[in-house]
Amino acid sequence: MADFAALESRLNAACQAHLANCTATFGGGEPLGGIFDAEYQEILGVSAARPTFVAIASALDGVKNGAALAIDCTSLGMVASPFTVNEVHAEHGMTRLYLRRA
Amino acid sequence: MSASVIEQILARAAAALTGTTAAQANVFRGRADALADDEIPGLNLRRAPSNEDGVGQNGSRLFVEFDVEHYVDDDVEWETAADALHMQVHGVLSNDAQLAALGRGLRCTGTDPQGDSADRVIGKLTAHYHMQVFVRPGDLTRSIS
Repeated sequence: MADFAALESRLNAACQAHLANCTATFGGGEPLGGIFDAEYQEILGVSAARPTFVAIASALDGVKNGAALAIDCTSLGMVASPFTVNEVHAEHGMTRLYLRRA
Repeated sequence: MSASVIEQILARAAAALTGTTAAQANVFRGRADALADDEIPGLNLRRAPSNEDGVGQNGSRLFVEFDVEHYVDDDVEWETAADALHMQVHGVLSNDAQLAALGRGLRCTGTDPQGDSADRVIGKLTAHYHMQVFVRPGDLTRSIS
């Protein structure tokens, strides 16, 4: 029987390869592919969004709250928007960063 | 049909606040829709439940309650920003002669702060206001205070 962790890792890598819609750049680092989303959310009676960036956990090792990044989603009509990380949530080999507009 | 004294108070408060605080023209009445980016800082005045107390046979005392919701977005110090906006609002309402002519004893009876986070931090401070107005039981449109 195949090792579950290895299967999960392969699946995560395949998902990211197929679904990545943007790159994230931390500081002067290399652009990192991942999945960006910014679902509409109303908070306290104000229109808002909940931007997130998801990538394979190993690629986001060391990312902490407050880290600055630029998201480049040319396919979504959004280029190099600056954000800061305000929550890091890891599960099942993927990491989801909750972002705040910088 | 003339508006009730309660409505007159809310209308006057909104008019007095328009353009006189950091919220500028972002002053709304009973707004139910979400505010947009360019509507913050903003104020939303809401009518709250009011009570009436009979005074003899020819008078009624209305306890008029209304809320002023203060909206700010400040990632670092939203409570401080909301408080500053509230102090501007309180100053305007407390010194408005037309509002004072509609009733007596305008006071802020409490505040309720709320903050939440998404793509930015939103702060909302709800200030509860109270006024007393004397009216004739058959005419809720005219203050006899």
